[in-house]
Amino acid sequence: MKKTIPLMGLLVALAFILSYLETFIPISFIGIPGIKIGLANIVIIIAILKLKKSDAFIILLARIILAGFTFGSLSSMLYALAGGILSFIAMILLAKCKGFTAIGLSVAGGIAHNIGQIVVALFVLETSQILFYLPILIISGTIFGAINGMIAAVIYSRVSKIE
Amino acid sequence: MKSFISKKDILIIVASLGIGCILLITFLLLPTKDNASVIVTLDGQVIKTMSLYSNTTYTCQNNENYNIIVVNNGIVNVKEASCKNQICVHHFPISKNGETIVCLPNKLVVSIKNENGKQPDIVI
Amino acid sequence: MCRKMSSKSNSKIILNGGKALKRLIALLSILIILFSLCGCTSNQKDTSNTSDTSEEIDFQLRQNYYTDIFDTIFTFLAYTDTQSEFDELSEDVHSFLLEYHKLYDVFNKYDGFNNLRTINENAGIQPVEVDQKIIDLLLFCRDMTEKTKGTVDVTYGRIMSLWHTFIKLANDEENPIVSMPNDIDIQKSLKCNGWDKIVIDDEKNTVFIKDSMVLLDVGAIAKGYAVQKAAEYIKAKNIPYAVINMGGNVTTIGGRGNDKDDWVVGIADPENYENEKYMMTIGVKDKSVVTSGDYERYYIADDNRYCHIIDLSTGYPANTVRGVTVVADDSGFADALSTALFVMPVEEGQKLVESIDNVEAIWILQKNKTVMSSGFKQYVLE
Repeated sequence: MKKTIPLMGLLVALAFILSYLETFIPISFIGIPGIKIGLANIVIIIAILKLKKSDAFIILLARIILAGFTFGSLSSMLYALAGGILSFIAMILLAKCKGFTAIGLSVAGGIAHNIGQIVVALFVLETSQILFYLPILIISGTIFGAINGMIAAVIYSRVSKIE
Repeated sequence: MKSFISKKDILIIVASLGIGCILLITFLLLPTKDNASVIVTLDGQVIKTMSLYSNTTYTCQNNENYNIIVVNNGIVNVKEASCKNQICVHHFPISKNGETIVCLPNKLVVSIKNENGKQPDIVI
Repeated sequence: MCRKMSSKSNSKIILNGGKALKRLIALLSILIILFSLCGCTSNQKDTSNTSDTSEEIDFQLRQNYYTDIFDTIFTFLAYTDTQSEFDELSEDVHSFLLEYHKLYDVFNKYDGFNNLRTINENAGIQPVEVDQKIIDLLLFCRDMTEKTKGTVDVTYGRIMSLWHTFIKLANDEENPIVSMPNDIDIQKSLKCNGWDKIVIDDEKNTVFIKDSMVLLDVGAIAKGYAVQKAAEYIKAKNIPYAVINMGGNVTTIGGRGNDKDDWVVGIADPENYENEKYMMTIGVKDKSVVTSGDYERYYIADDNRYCHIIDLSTGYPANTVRGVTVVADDSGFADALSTALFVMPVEEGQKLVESIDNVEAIWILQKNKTVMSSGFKQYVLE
């Protein structure tokens, strides 16, 4: 138990840095709200596979709150929480079923994250027009999820050799 | 790379891409009537409705936040806005029934809907 | 202990140049290149847009709106060649109307000049020197009292202010209080009125309310009057096609984009006036259209609606009809008339409208039934 706390701290820091680096990638030029690469999710996936689910959840929350207060806003935190929690639930559900690798988890997480954000937007904007973005966000969630998943798989295959 | 990717993973990827594409095609196939109108919503309330062919430039102002919406020859886009991320400005121009441009920071939604009859310039 | 292990694993990753790692690096580099390309192309798009806007000549309809005049939303529409021309014109008209707003304001004081609030504050005390615009408005209001046979009378400020207070209390966002003024107060306030108590000196430009209990409330006419002046101002600038909408007071200049087409005005559905829902549309050009409705400022007590338009014969808010829309040439006249028709019984109102040339009206009754004046149909679209 005590061994994992420094590791968790490291992972939170890593996720935080990845979130921060992402703000420099000019993805807003695509002009679709909600499209994200989600690099920080790589850390969460590895945490789910390697640590206890509750520890992974703590890392997720810590990352969202830290990132939100540092370079985000209260409203961005709301979206991040909705997306993050939904994606976390999707990922641990898939982790419980056998036959999925990090890639499958990441794809499910990416799609669930985007759906979570659309749900929040539905409440904030009070109009169903935002559902227009659902197909595009499902596709981008899948593609970026797959890419993140491959990266996570590679890192996990190295890291799992320790301990 | 023994089990880099599993069958179930590929299943999810293909299924989601499939669903996404089907939804996309469905949206794109929706017919757009001649009398389609552009509806501007701020904070959930409709503040302006104009005809898709009205050739108007509408400035929506809300305290210090603003968005300039241009409707020109059946194409709608956001020309300028006060939001930080400028996603609405970089958004592709919309012209079909169901398409939407959203400015999340300014809580603005611009969408195109089929409507019957002439759209009023003002409602009193 | 953990830290040491992590550094070992890090070094393992760096030293182990496996296939997967190379693939990873290749993928990341492609992504980074793609995104920087996106950045470049978008930047190019932006600069071409900005150079376009300053030169682009496109005669089209542009609109803007303001929320700081006459306690309502002021929307301005006009056809201009460029956006900058429109922005300048829009600001011009806005400042023009802002001046009228300040002069006709009964709630606020402004440094350096007297306005209607000053006149009210000096009721029973002394004459107040004011701008010619206020003199002209009051003379117009006096004329309107005659033309509406006493139904619209701006000297009844005291009873109107009594109801304004109760409407405001009932609509307070934090602590709404729904109650009724008692009948004694109503009858007392109702007695405080009369043009005989208002002394207007057109030479010295002064206005004196002789009776300290009498107040002026120009709400029924001021907006329309100011809008009429603004319309004349715009016409003098040779702007051919424009519309002013001051919270329900509309005046159209020219046609919609050309001399032939009409502007399309929607008449709000009293049951569903939010979200711009309308029950019919009319087409007008070079006309003023004004609506008075029971859904603009009101409160509900005991299943009864109390709106801001007062029936001066009873002292209570009028509830004959749900709304009246008037189409006329002069915006100030249309404003006064729409208020009058809202209060009068419908038959009396119809007689009044038929007796005046170039004026048409539509009454919206309970359950959205409508009554139109004889010539109103010519404006109705489909």
